[in-house]
Amino acid sequence: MPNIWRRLRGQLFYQVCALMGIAFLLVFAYTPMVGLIIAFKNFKLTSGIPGFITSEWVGFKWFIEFYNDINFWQIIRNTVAISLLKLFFTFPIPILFALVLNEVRKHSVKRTVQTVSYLPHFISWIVVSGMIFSFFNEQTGVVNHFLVSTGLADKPISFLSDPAYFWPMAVLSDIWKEMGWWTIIFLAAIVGVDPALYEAAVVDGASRMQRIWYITLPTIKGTIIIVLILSIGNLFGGGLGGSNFEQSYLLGNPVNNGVSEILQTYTLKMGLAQGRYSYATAIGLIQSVISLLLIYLSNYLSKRFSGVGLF
Amino acid sequence: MRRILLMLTSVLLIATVFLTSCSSNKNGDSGSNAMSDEELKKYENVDWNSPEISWKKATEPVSFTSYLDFDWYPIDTWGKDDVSKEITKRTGVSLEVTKSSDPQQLQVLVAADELPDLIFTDKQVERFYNPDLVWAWDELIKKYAPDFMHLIDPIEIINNTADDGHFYTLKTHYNNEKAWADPRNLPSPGDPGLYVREDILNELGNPPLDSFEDMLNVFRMVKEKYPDMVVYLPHPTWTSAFMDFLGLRSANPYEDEQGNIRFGFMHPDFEEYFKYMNQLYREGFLSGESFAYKPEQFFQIVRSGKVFAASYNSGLADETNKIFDDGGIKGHFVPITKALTYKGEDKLKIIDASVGWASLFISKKVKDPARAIQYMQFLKSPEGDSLTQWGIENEHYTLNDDGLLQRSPDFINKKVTETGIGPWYFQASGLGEGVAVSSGALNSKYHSGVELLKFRKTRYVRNPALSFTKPQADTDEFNINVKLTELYLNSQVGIITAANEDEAISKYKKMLEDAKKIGVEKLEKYMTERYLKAKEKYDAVAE
Repeated sequence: MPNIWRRLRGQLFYQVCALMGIAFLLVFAYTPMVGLIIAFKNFKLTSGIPGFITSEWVGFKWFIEFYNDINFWQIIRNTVAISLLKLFFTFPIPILFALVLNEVRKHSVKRTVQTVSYLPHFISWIVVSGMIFSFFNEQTGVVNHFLVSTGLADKPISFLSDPAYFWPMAVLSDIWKEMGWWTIIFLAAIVGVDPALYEAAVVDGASRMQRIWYITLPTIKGTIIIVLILSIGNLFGGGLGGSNFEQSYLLGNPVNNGVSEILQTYTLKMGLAQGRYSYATAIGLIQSVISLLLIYLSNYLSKRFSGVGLF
Repeated sequence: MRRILLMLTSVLLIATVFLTSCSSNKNGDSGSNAMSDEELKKYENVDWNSPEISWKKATEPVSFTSYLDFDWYPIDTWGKDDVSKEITKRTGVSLEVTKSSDPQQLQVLVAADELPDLIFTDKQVERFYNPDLVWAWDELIKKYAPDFMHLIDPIEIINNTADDGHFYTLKTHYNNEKAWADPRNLPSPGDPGLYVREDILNELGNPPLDSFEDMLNVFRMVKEKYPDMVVYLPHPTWTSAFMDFLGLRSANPYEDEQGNIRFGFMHPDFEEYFKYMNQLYREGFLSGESFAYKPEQFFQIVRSGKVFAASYNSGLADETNKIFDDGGIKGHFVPITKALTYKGEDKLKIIDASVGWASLFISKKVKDPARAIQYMQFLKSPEGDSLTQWGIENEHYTLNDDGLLQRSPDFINKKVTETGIGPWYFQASGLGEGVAVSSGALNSKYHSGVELLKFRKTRYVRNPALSFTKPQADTDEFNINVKLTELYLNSQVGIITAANEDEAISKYKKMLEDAKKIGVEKLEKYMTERYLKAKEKYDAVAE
């Protein structure tokens, strides 16, 4: 025992840091889970916190109501499609960008590109949505003005309202906003690669592409897998950017609703805005359970095929 | 043994004291000390000007926390404008104001049991008809302002009485029949209007504009002569002007010929409405994107001077014309102050419950319920009403011989944050607002909205029993109502922007089928039952 205490005392700073993390998770992640109980109860807003206990049990009533909702399949389709499209496009791009940046030899160019690419991460989605409106709207948008004046389009294109453009806009704006930020993570991993490996490869006559393929990528595989598992865990939230809700809420409108309505916006509209917290919790719980299963699945597959896993 | 007896006696004594105190608290809270109806009769001679009126008896300083559930509210600080300072001077009341920043904020305050003293809202008000959350006004009045009860219009009490027999608020901007008949009174400035550019009409040779068909013809002329103009831009969230001309409302209940209450968009004439709107879209007069704009984006485009026709509330032309004139932009909007006929038929009929608008609730957490209800009495009085809606007499206005407000020439340049006229009207009368609006014609050259509202008033059909069809919060019918409103919102643009008329009709029919799946028939049955019950109450008072 004394040994343990001595060891803990030696790690005091790190232990305090870890404890703060654990306390954060306990307070903000685990304690609120008590509220999940209302997904199975007829909780009324006016009953307040005691209503968690006192309201009547209704079993799976809210889950069944959501399943029978006329929009159920459309919402599920939109949520899954937007999430998969983002994972497919937004996940590999920061890796490619990091590899390219790593090959840039001129330090000032590398720095400038890096800074310019990660700055959009700090712009909030509300500002980004305003910028998208200014650039792409039909009446006064710069893009439409350019397309029509150069003859590239006969008439202005309804980027903001035509449902056909919502998914591409969501993916592209997410790439623009978050690519630079995630590149930093992968660049940091690349910096950790032992330079001796590259030197040996050069001596052996390896080309630049071969060095990337046989040294850089295998070395940062662990980081890639961990980020991938976390992204899949947050698949319905929008993967790396975690931006599904913001995009659908801000860029969604009655015109493109058929393709922009997702689980989170529906929860807000039909659950929270109407004070139907039980219904909202049930929908949120469905999403959480699916996300948990996805984490386990991706971790299992990763371990099976690459030998690397998060747990 | 003696020790045991002593202990038992002590426990009994403590329990008795505890229970007595509890029961006395409870009695106090529930207003059991309130006067009986017999006792209330002695206050029948007190009028609004009486020095004995309750609110005048206590004017020492008191402060209430308050929540304004309107994120568009023009003001969020008490005591910096003329009117709020004057209210404090006369009543001693000041407010610590929190303005809504999010439509969901109030729901969270309710769930977290953190309601402020006063809540001013127009959303899900039935949720507040709950004695655990807020005070019933009738209880507070009997206890703390007994003279107030007989000063309130009995019909207004019926309008606001909940299923449990109490009234928890008196909605603002109510007009009784006498007030409505006053020639100075007008409908709400929020009423919809359709506007066209007079300057362009002149250039087109003033073609006739009496019907939907004429409007289509004018749109064609505009499109041809001014290809860069936006022909028609509707406000993204406001009632559609064309729907209005057809006497329709998408979410308001109406009484059909058999006396049943139907949900707004179940009216068969919606098919004609959608056909017309679809034609506007297909001919390029209306863009699908206009439904996607945020309100500020709508105004930005209208004010650019590139729009021929637009629809919004009754003030659009006046606000825009002033901006045009100030900015040197060529253009002048005028409202259409007549009913456009559809296929030769004039269908404009404005069915309105006419029970008022927003509600102020007094939270159970309020520290001084007596002063809170007395403050409401002041606001409800003609003195409070004119102060909050018109300003301070001789400073902001004088009344002319016609009973209209004469403003000083520089009044138009004063901001609401300076004067405070309007925002503190938690018990505003409809007539007070009507007088303020119709006086606009005296004080500004921008007053075309007054003419519009005067015309609209002639088309109003008032039916207060309709307000009782609204489903109670947390019921199945409430959920159906929400889903139907959402269904309309999500379906309408798809119907209007259909590639051809057949597709538009097919989408419209799909919306009706979806409405049935959601349970529109169940909701309509529920609304009809409530409507008939409410009608009985009104009929009884009328007799």
